[in-house]
Amino acid sequence: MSPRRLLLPLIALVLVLPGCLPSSSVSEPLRAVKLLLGFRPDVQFAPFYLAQEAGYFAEAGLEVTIEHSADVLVLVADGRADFGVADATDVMIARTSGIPVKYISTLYDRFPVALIGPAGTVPSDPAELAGLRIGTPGEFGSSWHALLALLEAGGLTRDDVTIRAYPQFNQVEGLLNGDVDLITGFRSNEPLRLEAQGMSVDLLTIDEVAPLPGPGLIAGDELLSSDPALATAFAAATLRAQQTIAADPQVGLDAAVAAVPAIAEDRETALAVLEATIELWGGEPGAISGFIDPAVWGPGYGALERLGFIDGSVPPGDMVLDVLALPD
Amino acid sequence: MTTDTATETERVGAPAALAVRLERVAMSFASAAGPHTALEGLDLDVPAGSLTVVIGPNGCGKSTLLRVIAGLLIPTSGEVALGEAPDARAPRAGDGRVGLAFQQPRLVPWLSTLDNVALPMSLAGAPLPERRERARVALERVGLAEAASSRPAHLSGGMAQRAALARALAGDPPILLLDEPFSALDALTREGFDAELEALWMSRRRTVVMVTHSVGEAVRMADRIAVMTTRPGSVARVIPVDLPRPRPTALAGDPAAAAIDAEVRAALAEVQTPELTPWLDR
Amino acid sequence: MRRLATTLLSLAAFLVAWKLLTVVTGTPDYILPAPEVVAERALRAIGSGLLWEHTAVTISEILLGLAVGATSAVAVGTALGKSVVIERVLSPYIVAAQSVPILALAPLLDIWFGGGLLARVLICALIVFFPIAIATMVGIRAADPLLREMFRSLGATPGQITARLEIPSALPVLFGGLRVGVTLAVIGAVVAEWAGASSGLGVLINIADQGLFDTPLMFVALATLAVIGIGLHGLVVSIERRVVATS
Repeated sequence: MSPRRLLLPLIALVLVLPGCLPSSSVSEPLRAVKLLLGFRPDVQFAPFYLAQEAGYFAEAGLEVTIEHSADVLVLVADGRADFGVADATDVMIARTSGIPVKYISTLYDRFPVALIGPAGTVPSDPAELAGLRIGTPGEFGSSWHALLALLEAGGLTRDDVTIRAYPQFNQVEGLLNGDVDLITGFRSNEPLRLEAQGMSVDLLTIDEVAPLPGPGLIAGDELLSSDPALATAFAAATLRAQQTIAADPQVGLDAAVAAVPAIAEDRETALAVLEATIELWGGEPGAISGFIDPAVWGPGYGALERLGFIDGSVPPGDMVLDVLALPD
Repeated sequence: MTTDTATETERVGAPAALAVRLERVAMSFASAAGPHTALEGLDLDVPAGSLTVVIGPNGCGKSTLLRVIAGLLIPTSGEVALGEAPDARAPRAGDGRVGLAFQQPRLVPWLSTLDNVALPMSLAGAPLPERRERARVALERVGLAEAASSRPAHLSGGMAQRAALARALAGDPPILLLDEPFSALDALTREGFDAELEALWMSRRRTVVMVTHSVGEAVRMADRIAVMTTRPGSVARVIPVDLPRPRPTALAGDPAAAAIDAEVRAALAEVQTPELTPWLDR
Repeated sequence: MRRLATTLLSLAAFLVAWKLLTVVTGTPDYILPAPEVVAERALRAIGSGLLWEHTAVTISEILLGLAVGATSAVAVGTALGKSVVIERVLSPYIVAAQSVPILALAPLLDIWFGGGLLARVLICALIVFFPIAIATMVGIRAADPLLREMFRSLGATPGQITARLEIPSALPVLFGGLRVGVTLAVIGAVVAEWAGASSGLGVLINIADQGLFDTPLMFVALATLAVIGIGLHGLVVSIERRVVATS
C-alpha cells in the first residue's frame, strides 16, 4: 500500500482513539458523597482518611465528605447521608423495626468488643462469669449484645451477674477503681488504655464462643436500589485503603494525622491502636475482603432472636446486600 | 375610740406613766461625708403622764430624738432615763416601757390586722390565746374590731394607722411615742384622730411625746411644746399650753390659743437659719 | 373552666401542627414520628410497665434532689443575704461552680459518690442549687427597711427578724427561684442519669435512641419528662398562691 492510502484511516484512528480510552477522572466531575461516622474522629477511621488523601475515592469517581454523628443508622436510612459505619447487630435491630438500611460490606472480620479484666482474673469459660460485677456503657450497642450473647453461651442470664452502667463510656475508670471485676470494651482501645495506666489485662473474646458479625458499611435502601454501583465503588475504595494500611500501618497513621491533627499528640498509642484495629479487620491484607460471612451472620441473628432483641420477622437476607459481590 | 378603762390589759402594779429625762444628749452618725451630728447638747424633761409635742424646722432631728427615747439609737454622749429615780433606767427597745407609732402604719402585709396588733406580744413569747385576746381589746379601743381578720392591704390609710396605734398601745406601755402619726392622713381625718387620741390619753394618762410639723396640731394637743433648733438639734424653748381639756376642734377663735400659736411661730422663726426663710419678719 | 379549655385548645393546635409537619415534609416515623404513633407507643409502654419503671426512678431523683438542693440553697442564700462579708467570701466559688458545665462534672461526681442514687441526687441538687440560693439572697435583702425598724423597735432578736420578717418578705422572690429550680431538677435528673445510671427516663431515652432505634419511644420519654416538669411547676405555683400574701 502506498503511504497516501494509509493516511485517511490513520487520521480517523487518531480522531476516534481518544474516545475509546478510559477517560481520566480529572475531566469528569466527581460524585459528592457523604459518609457518616460515629463518635469522634479517631485513628480507626484511617482507611477513609487514606482513601481521601491518596485519591482512591477520587479514582472511584467519588468526592467524600466525612461527618460525625450519634445517629448514623437513622440518618443513612433517611438518605441524609449516603454511607455510614455501623454495628451489624444494630443493623439487625433497626431493620427489624422497619428502618430501611442495609449492611453492605464487612469492615471488621473479628468482633471488636470483648470482656476485659485484670490479668489472671478473666475466665475463659463464660459460665464462670456468674456472680461477677461487669461494667458496660448501657443497655444498647454491640457491647450490650456481646455481653448478653456471652452470658447466654455460658448458660447464664443478666440476673446472674451484677451490671453497672457507664453511660459516659468511662467504664475503664470503674475497672481501675475496683468498682467492677470486668468491663466490656473495644479490643483495639480499652486494653491499651489500661496497660498505659499500669494494669495488665486479659480478654474474653466472643468469636469462638458466641459469634456475632462485626461493624461494616451501611447504606439506605433508596440509594441501593437507585445506584448500587455507587455503593460498590465506595466499598471497593474503602477496602483498597484497608488493605494498603494492613500492609503498611504507618501510611494509615500519616493519613489519619493529616486529617485529624489531634491524633499526633500521641503517635505511639495511635499506632498501637491502629495495629490492633488492623488485626480486627483480619490482619493480613489478603484476609481483608469485605466478605459478609453467613457462617457468622446466621448464628448471630439466632442469638439476637433468642435474646429478644429481634423477633425474627425480617430475615437476615433482607438486612444485607454484599455490594462487593454484585455482578458488574 | 372608746375610753380606756382599767381592764385586764393593764399591767398590774406597774405605773401608768413614766417620766422621760434627757441630759446633754448628743447623737452623731458616721457617714460617707464624715460624721453627721443630729443632736447636740439636748436637754428635755418630760413629766410622767404629760402630753409633750416636739416641733421644729426640717432636719432638726425630731425623729432622731424619738428613736433615742425608744432605745433604737444609743446616744453618742449624754444621758437618757425613763422613770423616776431610783428606778430610772436607760431605754431599751422592746422592753415594753415604750410604745412607738411611725408616720407610716408599718403593718406586716402577710399578717391579719389582729395578728399585727398582737405582734409585740408574740415576739415577747406570750401564748397565742392571751395575745390574741389582748389584741382584740386593743382593736376595740381604737374602733377597729370588725377589721380584725382583714389584711392590711384592705384597710384604708386611716384604719391602718389606727391599727398601728392599737399595736403601740396593746402592751399598755407607760410611754407612748408618736412620730407625725397623722401627717399622712387628710386634714379632716386628722382632726378627728387628734380628738380621739386626746380622749384616749385622758382616760388613761400615760406619758406621750408626739412629733409634728403642724403648729395648729401642737397647740391643740400639747401640755407643753418643745421647740427644737436646726441641726444639730437641741431644745430651744419649752412653751407651756394651759388651755382647758378636752380641747375643742376649732381653736381658731380662742384668743388664748391664738397667743400660744403666735408664740410658737415666733420661736420657730428664731431657730430658722435666716437665709432659709427670708420672708419671715424678725 | 376557661383556663382548662384554653389549655386543651392550644394542646390540640400543637398536635395538629405537629401532624401537619410530618405529613408535609414526609419524614419517616424513625426520624420524626407523628403524634398518633407516639401516642400508640406510649400506650404500649404504659401497658407493659416499661414507662412507669423508668419514670418512678427519675421522679425519686427529682424529689430528693429538690429536697437536698432547695433546703441547702435557702440556708446558704439566707446567709449570703444577711452578711455582706459571707457573700464576698463565698460568691466567687458559687459562681465558679455554676459556670462549670454540670455535664462535665457529673461523671466525676458519679464516681466519687459511688454511682448510686446518692450520686444522682447530689448532681440534681447541684443543678437546682444556684437559682434558688440567689433568689433567696435577693429576697432576704428585699425586706422593707421600714418594717425592719418597726421590728427592732419591738425588741425583735436577729433570729426573730430573720424568721418573721426576712423569710416571709423573701417568699415571692424565693418562689420565683423555685419555679426555675423545679424545671432544672428535671434536667438535672436526666444529666445525672446520663452520667451513670441503669434506669430512669434519661436512660430510657438513650436505650430508645441508641439501642432500639425506637424514635417514638424516645418521644414518649421526652413527653413524660415534660409532663413531670409541668406538674411540678404547677405544684409550686399552687403552693405559692397559698403561702405568699397577695397584696
